[in-house]
Amino acid sequence: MKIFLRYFLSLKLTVTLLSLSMVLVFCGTLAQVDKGIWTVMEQYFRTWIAWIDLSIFTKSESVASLSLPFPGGFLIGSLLSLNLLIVHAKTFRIFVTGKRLIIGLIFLLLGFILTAGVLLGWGSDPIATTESDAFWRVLFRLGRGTLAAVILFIACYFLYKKRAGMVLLHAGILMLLIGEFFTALFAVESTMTVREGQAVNFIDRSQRFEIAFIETSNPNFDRVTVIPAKMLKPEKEIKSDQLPFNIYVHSVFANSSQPQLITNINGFSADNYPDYKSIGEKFFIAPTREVSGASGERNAPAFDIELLDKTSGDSLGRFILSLWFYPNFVNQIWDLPNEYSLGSKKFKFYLRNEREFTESISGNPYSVELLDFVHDKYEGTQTPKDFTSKIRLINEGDEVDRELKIWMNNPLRYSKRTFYQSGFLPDDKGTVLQVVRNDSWMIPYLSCMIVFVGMGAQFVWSMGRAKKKGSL
Amino acid sequence: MKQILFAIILLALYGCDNEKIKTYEVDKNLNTFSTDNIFATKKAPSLVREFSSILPEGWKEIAPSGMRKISYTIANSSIDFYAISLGMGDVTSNVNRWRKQINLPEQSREEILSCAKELNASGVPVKYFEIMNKDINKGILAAIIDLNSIYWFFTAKGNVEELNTHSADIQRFINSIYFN
Repeated sequence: MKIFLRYFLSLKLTVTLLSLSMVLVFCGTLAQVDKGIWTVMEQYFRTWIAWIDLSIFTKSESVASLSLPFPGGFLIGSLLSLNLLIVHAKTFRIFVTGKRLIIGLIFLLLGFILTAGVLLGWGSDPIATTESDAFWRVLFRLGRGTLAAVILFIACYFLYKKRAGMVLLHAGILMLLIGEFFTALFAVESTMTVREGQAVNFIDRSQRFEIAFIETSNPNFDRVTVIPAKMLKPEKEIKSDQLPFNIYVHSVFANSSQPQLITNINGFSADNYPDYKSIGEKFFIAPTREVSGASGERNAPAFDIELLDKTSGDSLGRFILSLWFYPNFVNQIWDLPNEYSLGSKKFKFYLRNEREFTESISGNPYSVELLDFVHDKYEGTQTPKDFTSKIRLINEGDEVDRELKIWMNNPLRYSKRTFYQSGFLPDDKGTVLQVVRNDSWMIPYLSCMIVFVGMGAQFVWSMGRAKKKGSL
Repeated sequence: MKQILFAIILLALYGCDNEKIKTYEVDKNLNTFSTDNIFATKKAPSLVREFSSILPEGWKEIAPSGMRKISYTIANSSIDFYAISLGMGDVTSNVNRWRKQINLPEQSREEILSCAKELNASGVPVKYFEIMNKDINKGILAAIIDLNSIYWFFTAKGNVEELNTHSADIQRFINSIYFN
């Protein structure tokens, strides 16, 4: 245990970890030339062990396919946090006693309660939008963080005297590290696409995909069976009682080419292309390299699957499912489902973003109706000035029925989700909202104010000391 | 220390996904998309990586060559239609360059902008020009699309009659372009 503690007390460890993190950030940045931003996040930062592709340094064929293990973002962050905690526990000990200790602990408790309140949004309006000037909204948010930081500083002053600033600013850094860990684990990004006059009660998870088999035979409702994409591995068969067929996965493409009409491809040879049914008979889809994280483009994964008879195992048809066929991926420009009939049952199926139905904290479903989408331009030009979605938020269970406005940098916060204005449909017929759930979103604001207060106090003290010595 | 490690393991486990197949019933309207459904008319997305588009009947794509990102042949016409993309896209100088190519005098920025028709490539504003010189029976239909720092130029060159015949198709094609 002593060796362990000595190891983690070392400043050399801090410097080494910070150096490693710089190398990791450098490699991760280079990797984004060839890989998507989310792939790089998973491979380099949100992992315990990162595998650094040597291809980011050289195009030499002999080494380009090799990868080197390296401490991942989680590992470096955890070790840094541990290092910081142990150094604090050892170096910044509380030596005060009596009344001072009690007052310090009371303020510390108060500071923790206030911090928790700020993080959990106590006292905040359950439906938060910018009704007036955004400046006041941001100021109020920073103000709450500052208040918590000042209370914590008072606690530190009573407990650590003149080292209060140093303790507080390190606590702020630790909080920032922990905050990112929580964000990495729990933050969820999605989009909601709504046409004018339409009400939508689901969001599309940005980085998760599913194959949805929609049985459309019933005139009153559709029966939807969804298979998470993570369950679909190449050369694996999926069997489920919920589907009248089995599914064999031939291959999985991390990214696929845009659909092209086969009849438009010069020299197309059917011999070298699978005999796909339905939409795959008309459109050519091929695996393609992942989009660069620097380009801002998105990958369109695809699955090459075959439906098999449950009893005999005979082929019922081979299909290509690409995200390109899903309407919300292309801003509802087209809708190209694969279709298949088995007896009286008719199915259409997509590879789509994982669909999540919107629910408030109380568990009641809610929907967002787009009343109007406004696309302002600078007068006399075509340069976009502002995008605004006028929406109606409807949650009958919670008796919410409000008309609200979402526009650039002025999101709607409701039920732990934040709805940002993100894009729009062709001809301004609808809106695309980015929907983010990040329960730790306040941590960076709070951490910054804690570091600011701690650093300010340390600076003032140091200056006072220097003045006393006559150095200034 | 043990408690911290335990908490980290718990967090990591909580982050693991519980994937399973699910079935649910939804209102029929929920699964329908009010798309423009361009493929209902059996038209094609572009071969070009940067955008998708609808090709009118009788159009064919020709692979990139030189500066041309893509070219198009239009059935029963001699129109030369192609697309290029550049890092600069001053409207006045480009339109005047095209005018010069068909022996028309240069115009001021105001005159040029007053002749511009505004199209919309799936949400992206487009400046569209029809420049014709009937005296020499030559014309140019051109669209300038400003994607912030990248400009796309779609230019159709041919005789006046053919350009007039295909002008509507060309505009529909421009409107159908969807940049990725």
